[in-house]
Amino acid sequence: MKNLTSMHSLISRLRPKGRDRALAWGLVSALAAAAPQALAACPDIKGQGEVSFIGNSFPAVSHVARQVEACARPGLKVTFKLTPQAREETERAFAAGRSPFSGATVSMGEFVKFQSLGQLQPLTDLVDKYRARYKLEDGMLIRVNGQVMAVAFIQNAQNLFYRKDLFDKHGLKVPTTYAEMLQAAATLKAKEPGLEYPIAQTFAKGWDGATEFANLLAGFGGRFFKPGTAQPAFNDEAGVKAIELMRQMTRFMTPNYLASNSDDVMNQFQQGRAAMGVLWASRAARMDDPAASKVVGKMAFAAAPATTPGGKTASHLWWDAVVMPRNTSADRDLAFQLLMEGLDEEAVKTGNDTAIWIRSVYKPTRFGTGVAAAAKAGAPIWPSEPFFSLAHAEVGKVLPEALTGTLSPKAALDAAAQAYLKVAAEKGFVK
Amino acid sequence: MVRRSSRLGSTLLHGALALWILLASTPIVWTAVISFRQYVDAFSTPVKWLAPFTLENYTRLWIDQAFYVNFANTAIVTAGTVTISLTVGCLAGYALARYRGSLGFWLLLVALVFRALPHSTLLPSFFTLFNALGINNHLLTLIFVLVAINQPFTIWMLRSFFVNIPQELDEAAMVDGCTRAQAFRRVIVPVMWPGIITTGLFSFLLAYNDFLLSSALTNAGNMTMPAAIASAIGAESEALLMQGVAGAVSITLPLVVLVVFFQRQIVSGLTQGAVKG
Amino acid sequence: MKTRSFLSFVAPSVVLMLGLMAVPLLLTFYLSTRHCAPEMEMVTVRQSGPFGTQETVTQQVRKGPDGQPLQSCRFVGLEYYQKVLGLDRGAVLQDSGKAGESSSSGAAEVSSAAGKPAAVANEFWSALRFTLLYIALTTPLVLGLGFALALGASVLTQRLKAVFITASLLPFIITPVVGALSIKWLFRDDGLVSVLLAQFGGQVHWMAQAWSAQLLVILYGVWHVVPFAFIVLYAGLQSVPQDALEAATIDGASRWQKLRYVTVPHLMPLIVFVTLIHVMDAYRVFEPVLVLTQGAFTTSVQYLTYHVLLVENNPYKASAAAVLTVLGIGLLLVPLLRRTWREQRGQV
Repeated sequence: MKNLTSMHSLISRLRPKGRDRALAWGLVSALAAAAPQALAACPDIKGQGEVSFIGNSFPAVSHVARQVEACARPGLKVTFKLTPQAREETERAFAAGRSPFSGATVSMGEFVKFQSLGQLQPLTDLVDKYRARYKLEDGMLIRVNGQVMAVAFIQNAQNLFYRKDLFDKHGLKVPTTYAEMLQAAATLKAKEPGLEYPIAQTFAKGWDGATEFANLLAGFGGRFFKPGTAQPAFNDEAGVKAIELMRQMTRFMTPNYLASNSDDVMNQFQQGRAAMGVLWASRAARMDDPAASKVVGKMAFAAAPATTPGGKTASHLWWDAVVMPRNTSADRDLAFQLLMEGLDEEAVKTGNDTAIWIRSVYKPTRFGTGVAAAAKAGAPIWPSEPFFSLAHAEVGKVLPEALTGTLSPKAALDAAAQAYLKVAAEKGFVK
Repeated sequence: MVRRSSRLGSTLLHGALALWILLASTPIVWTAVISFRQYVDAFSTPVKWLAPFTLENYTRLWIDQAFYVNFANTAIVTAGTVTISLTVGCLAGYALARYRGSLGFWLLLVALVFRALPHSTLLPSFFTLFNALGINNHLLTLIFVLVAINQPFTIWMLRSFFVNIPQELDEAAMVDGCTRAQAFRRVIVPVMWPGIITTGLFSFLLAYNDFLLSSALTNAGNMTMPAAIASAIGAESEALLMQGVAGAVSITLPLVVLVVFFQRQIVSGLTQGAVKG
Repeated sequence: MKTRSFLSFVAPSVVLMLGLMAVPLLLTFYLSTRHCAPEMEMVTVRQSGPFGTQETVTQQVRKGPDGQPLQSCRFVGLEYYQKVLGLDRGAVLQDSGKAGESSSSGAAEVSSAAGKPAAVANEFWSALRFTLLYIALTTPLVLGLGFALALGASVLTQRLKAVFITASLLPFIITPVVGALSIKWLFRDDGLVSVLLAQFGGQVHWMAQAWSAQLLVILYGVWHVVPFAFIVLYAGLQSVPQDALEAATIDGASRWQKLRYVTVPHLMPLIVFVTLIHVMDAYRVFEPVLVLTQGAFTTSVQYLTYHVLLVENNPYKASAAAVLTVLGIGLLLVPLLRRTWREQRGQV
């Protein structure tokens, strides 16, 4: 305010003729108005219109959303809707006549679903056009039969979380196999006062427990299906071993393990009730927030243990990507550019700690060490066959009986296989 | 001897009643207590009796998560449901109270059967119908669904209130030259206000507290408070969980106010269908 | 009132109920006999991403000439009912090939499993069983506690009464989702209840076994409905005929006998009323199952329909479950409805 008045008095003291004064004043104000625009975010994007996107409310996606929305300016309206209901809303939008969203962040499973329904548009030409500008890396491109159908930006895997301070205190090494993990748990239970249930892992009935089973099955070298078919193979020896290992683990877990979803497991770690367990790397950062955790700085992370000595880590790899639907009404070129702004190197640098990014400029924090290790150790990608989720769900249903001993592991898995075959037949995957 | 045992008995009785009050209110009181704490203190092991006080869950919920939008949605849905329910229900309840034929009896019985219908049994067809008509995820759709679902209960309750109004009142009005509709509007309704308010209260409760239908038929921006709270709690994030806790308390406050101020009406409503006279 | 005026007065209400309840119910019947799905074909694709390239088997939807996915709908009759009820015995396991591949012990179990229905309990019957258990256990508890509270409240002073009634109403008017969550947070590992139990030397892991999980849901049910029974029975107590009570006292009846032979019979219609309403509402139990256990150890018929519809994404199977649910409540209600019919008949 003071500057303007002094400028005004300066101009008036120069005493130009009335018209010139108005001209000078106009010039000043025009310059003042022009300056912010010249420094606007996303200067490379030229285009007008209204574009909107949707994603869930994870911290990483929120970060991306902020970068994308920062590109808004007069004439270009950008919105990025964040909601825990993103999956359902995106499904509805992509299946409708015209999608209100020009792009979305999706998980691997959602990508497979949308791809199978033919609702995504190929991005190959856009990727070629803007590859240099946004420094798109090969590892980010999800290609199906050569066409780029999605651009992945973050990855995830299940990691080992463990209390480094307690392990050091009792001279325990980081477990590299589940046998070592069980031994460490036994030691801590015996020697550490108050640590009744050293292991916390998501054994909850349904999706969580079935995912644990899937990880262990992969670790034992088992497969869910016979190669090239939809016939179940998870009820063979490897499956039985996986269930038996899970049963052994329950000896060191809270008896409420059938209700242990990831929120519960997180709470157990944060409250210091558990000392080790395999959980999502994406949730690791919450261990160091004093508003949520009593064990700030005490947790360390490593690759998930292997099931057999020398075997590969019992985990899967996951990615999240951005996709664009076929039925979008907005300018696809503009929408693509906006999305890439949200995923560019700058965004990754400023949001480095919010997730495990795929870009090479990402500096792995201690929270993400397990993911890199899992990828290096050759952990498989989470299966994407369309009939996989059916089998996965059936295994989740029999887990309580299998883990509590009501059914033998073989009987439980056979029952799940039976149930799976029925559902798969309904959907036409098997005859 | 008798006095001593009756004093003991009286103390025991008061103690038992106090225990019930404790049991009735502890869950919600405890939820309120932890809503003013950070996650690490709210769900702490062991239970923390005293912990630092914070309003951040509420500010984050109402402002960052735009809970006021959900609040507005609940307000719209509830207001709409109550007004339409009462209007439609009063007409039907009055007619059922005054009509002597067996058609009325059958209608009441069918309404009773409908009242027993689990709401989820209608969901598959609601989805199919509404998606086909393109009216899914609209507040107005939800309002009409809730009105229809609550009709059986509403007409039963209103009917029992109308039955208590003597027939002579409308007959006098009609003798004076009013049509049945005019008699209803000008004479009966003014007398019926207590009953209307009571029924309105219950309609309000049913619409305000509904979760199954609201969460299934609305999405993100259109969600009512119960649906938004459930979604925040299930979102696998402690921050959102604490906001859900704050939301749970926020949604209960108006109800507590309601019970304190409308206790008599609620009691009369609950007993209306049962007690005669 | 003339029939014509009656019809015009009830029309809006009837139209709403028919349109948004009766018609959808009929539509549900219809949907339960069909199955629609987009036509899919299996393809093998080369998919590459951050972790390398692989060949995967996946599905692709078939598109029609207009570029829209092809849907095929067919009439399936009672197939979904059989599936939901677990009556379909079609052992779909591949026969000799599979048995030959598994180990010897495995083969025996596989073939025996193929001979009878799945060893895991069928979802619908579990849901129905628990729903009925829930009704059977909550109803007497609600009535008993409500009656006890009503008797107790009668001796309170006027001011205390108002406070007592207001506080008692809380569990009843609270949003069920919120109420169930509040109870869940009390009963978690190391929650308030665990602390209290520990004082008495006990420890219960509520989600570890069936009986405690079921008890938790039933506890919620009782906590939620007792105020309703209490208020109704309390109002009824105010209207017990005093002369009958006096006559009984003169005849030398004890308090217990007065209760049993005068008060309770007088309250019978109210007890029937509360039972009827509660049975209808208890059959629909949903929020506690969803919030407290997410279907582990306890499911209810309403939860099953909701789950099949929204999680398994199968509106046709959900419709079959829905119809069976409706049949269930219909059967349950017949005796209670008969009683109400007789009473209303007597009134009208």
